Amino acid sequence: MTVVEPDLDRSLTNAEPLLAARGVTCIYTQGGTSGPFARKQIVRAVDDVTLEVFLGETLAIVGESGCGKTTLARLLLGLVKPAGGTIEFRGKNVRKLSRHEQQKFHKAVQVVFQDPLSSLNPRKQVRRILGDIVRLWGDKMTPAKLNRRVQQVLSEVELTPPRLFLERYPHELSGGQRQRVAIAKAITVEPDLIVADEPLSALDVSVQGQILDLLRRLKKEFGVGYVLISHDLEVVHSVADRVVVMYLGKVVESGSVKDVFESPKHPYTRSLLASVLRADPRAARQRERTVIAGEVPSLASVPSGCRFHPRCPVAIDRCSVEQPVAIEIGSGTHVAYCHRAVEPGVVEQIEVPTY
Amino acid sequence: MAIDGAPLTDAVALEGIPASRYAEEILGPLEEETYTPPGHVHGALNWVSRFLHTQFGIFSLVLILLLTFMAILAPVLAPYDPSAIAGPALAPPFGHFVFGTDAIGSDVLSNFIYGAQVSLLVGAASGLIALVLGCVFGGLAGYLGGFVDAVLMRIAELFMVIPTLILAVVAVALIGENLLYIIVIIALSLWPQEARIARSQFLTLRERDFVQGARVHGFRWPHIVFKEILPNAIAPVIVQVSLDAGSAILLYAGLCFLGLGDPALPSWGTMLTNAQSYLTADPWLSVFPGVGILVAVLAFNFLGHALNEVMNPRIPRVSALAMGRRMATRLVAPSTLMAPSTLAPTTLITPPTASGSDPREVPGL
Amino acid sequence: MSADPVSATFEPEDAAKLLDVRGLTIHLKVRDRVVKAADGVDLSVSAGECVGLVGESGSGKTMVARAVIGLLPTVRLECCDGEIMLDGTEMLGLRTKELRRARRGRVSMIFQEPTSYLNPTMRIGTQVAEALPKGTDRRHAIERVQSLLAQAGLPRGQQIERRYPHQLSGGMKQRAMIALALASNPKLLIADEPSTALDVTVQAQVLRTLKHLHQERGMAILLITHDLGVIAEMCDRVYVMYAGEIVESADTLTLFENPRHPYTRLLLESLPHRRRDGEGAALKGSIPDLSMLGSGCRFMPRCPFATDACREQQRLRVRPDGQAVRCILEDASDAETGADEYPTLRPAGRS
Repeated sequence: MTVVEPDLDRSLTNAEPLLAARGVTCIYTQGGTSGPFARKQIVRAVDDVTLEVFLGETLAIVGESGCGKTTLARLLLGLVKPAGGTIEFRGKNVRKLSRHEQQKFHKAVQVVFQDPLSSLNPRKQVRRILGDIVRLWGDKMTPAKLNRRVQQVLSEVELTPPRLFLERYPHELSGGQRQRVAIAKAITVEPDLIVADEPLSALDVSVQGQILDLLRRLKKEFGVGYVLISHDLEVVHSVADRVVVMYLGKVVESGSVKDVFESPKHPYTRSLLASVLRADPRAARQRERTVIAGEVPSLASVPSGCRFHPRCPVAIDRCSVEQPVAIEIGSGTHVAYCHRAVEPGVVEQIEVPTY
Repeated sequence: MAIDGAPLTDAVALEGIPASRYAEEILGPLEEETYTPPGHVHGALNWVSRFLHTQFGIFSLVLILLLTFMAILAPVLAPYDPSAIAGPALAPPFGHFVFGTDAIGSDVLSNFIYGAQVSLLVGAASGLIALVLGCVFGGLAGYLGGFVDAVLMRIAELFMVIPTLILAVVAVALIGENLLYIIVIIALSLWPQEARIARSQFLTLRERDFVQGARVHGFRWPHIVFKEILPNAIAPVIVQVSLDAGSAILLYAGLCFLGLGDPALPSWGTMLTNAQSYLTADPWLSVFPGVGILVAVLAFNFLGHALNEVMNPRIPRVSALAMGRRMATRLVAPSTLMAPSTLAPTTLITPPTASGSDPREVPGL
Repeated sequence: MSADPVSATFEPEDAAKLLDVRGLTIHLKVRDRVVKAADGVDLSVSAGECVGLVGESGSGKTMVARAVIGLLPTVRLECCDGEIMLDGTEMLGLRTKELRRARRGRVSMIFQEPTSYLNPTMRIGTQVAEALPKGTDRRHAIERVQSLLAQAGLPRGQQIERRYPHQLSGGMKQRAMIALALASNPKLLIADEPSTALDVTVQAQVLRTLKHLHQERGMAILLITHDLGVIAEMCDRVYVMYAGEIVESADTLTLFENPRHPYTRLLLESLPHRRRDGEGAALKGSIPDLSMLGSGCRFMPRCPFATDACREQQRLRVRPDGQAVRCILEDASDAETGADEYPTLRPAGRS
């Protein structure tokens, strides 16, 4: 038994997050010109974002293209170095972990990607894909024990009978099966948190339901938490505990799913909710849908002040000048970044469907 | 009991038990079956099977095996010592000496066989060195990027720019005519190609989700580079290597022709240069080594082609026969193109050839 | 497989049908295998209707759409049978020139990925102008193009027509494609996954534009999608496709509130908002390989109600109210007895 670092092993109190982003910024340079005199454009994919994920909860990050949710996922996983701010795992900066702490990080935080085909090595059989992971963490594993563990994991993701799948290559599996293998990869190490980047988007509708059920079941049985990146608000509403809404690299609203979906306070959140197409023809015919104008501007030319102001139906002069600060709504954790959120009845002008 | 065509799980293969209402009760929960295209051979044999079904696979394989056979068994196959005087000078072929004799009386066949040995050796060795150099340089450049990438690629470009012949002449003049040196020189002129391919492969693969996933799992970089990236990156490099092996053979023949080859060893190029004065009078002196070079280079080119087809299944293979048939139909009866063929909805269609990718992914459905 | 004798309330009179597809069968040859993309598909669109064709990938819906407009891949076509009557003209079997003439003014199509379908080297205005009737003089052409772009929802006065596709955002490109499609003033617009590649808010905008065009111009729309939300929002009637066959058709309200085919029912059960508690039945397995279909009901391997009788080819059974279902269970649940006999979906038993 290796020496256990007391720092990382104390059980987390409710107040301390498992994984946190503190004022994190991520910058990409987009080519305008090249060469020694290049003037490249600076794009802030993620701009000063702070959020926390607690043990066992499902946090959803929603937004449209260019909002930075995928970049944020990569930052949380430690795949990308932030230009500013820190990512903290159990309170410690992820970039400054010792080897032992890093191992704990890898065991605690895992990932499921969007495209199941590219998230599996095409030249490896399922047996080896999972076997390599088991072997990485288990010393002195006999081949029999390894095999048993791999089969056990495959059963967990409902790929039964497991022996049918061991010899398969990724291209010999269907989309849903591949995503199950990808999830199996993640749960092999029994993580505390899985960062799932659009895990359902690349799948057929019927398969989406199956995988959603699987994720929910794993949560119930293993107590694993998720950071669910998604653009699909219906999925978020059905499976998440808390939600963070992002727009052009910044957080615009966050809170429990109940708060944000039932009483959204940021105009963008309301527009997003209003745009969701629900499979309810009666409701669709009853109300005239609120449709927001304009499109998400490119990250290279970010509007001044509040980034949403050019499209915002309730924007005032102040919005184009001053960046909004966090406004607490109610007594809980519901927060919106909008100047007009405090004024009663203003944002409610944007009609949203009831949840 | 299996329903025609529809793939069912092994749980269903119970003879004589009909499917009853609420199939779950009898069959148990529906297990997701894996999909195996009929005729699909699993695992490594799949590559072999696909290779044999390409247009040039068998052909190139046969040729190369022939050449290798000839090269390995040279001491046994060659009737005479290639440098010894075996008989009268300039004896014509198809007589006692199958390929005839050359100007000093050595057996052309023996020279041919030993020449094959040298050519294959040059091709294989240069190819191998180019492969290793290319993968190392290109892999490092692609994976590390930035400054390392820039430096390594400039070095590669340097070697690409120096003309091989000049390099060979200078090298031979400076360090001698040993076969090993020549092999190295040829490899040095070939490796930048492999390096560029390897680099672009590593660059793309580095960003792929399964590599990022390996990082999230905490795998160290040796595992990632050798076990995750390299097996996926190497395919196009190998195609290039097989093509380059052909080029190496050609190059060596050229060097020998110019008199820069290893003088101690027989080679096709040397045979050609010695045949220059006898081109019309005694054609067998030039024809046989010429054909030898042709066959060897062709064989490696075809190998490269076949490997490319195997590794890139998306290349559509339109056989000339099918195209011709289509055009004929167009001319004869244009409306028959849309005529219904007999539909047989109940037959299970078994394709004769193997295919590796998921046919459910029919584009555009 | 054609439908049973039709009751008057559902399918309108033949004369009023703008698009009438009967028995459409498309078999493709993919790498030595025959893929049955569509088998005996019957569907119709009347003037001014918005009809949805919903199915997952591998259902064959895209092939049906392409057959209607004449864009089937001829190289791989093994067989194409049936009848496609568009505004009185048979579309199957036409050659290129005839096809062009048949399409103009009648049918137009927009696709999922606007980037692939717009010429990157031509300005938007030029591309839209290409689709205008021949002989339009330059001044009229410019006016028409500007008007079309505005109708498609692109802002006026920004000289959009002078821009190249790469200078437009995704939603704007999609609108440009809509303008292109409108240029020939079609009676029927086929929209193949028009909003799938777009952001959520842009999706709502584009669909609203389509809806307005549908209402203002009286233009019929055949909307192909996998997204049930889009169907609920836009369509009057829906056809559900599975593995190359129409398995159910009904008007939208009925389909969502009273689905009868097991696939439709399970599909609706897989939607996220019904899976909140993780209870209820779920669709298991995956879409069958279209080159390895047997006789009999194609949904049988995944159907919780499968019986021996399902091994036979199933026909479309039409109910008095017009809803059509391709399932043997319909025989048991007679119109008179109603839904009582119809088996309910059991909750998924999980050990």
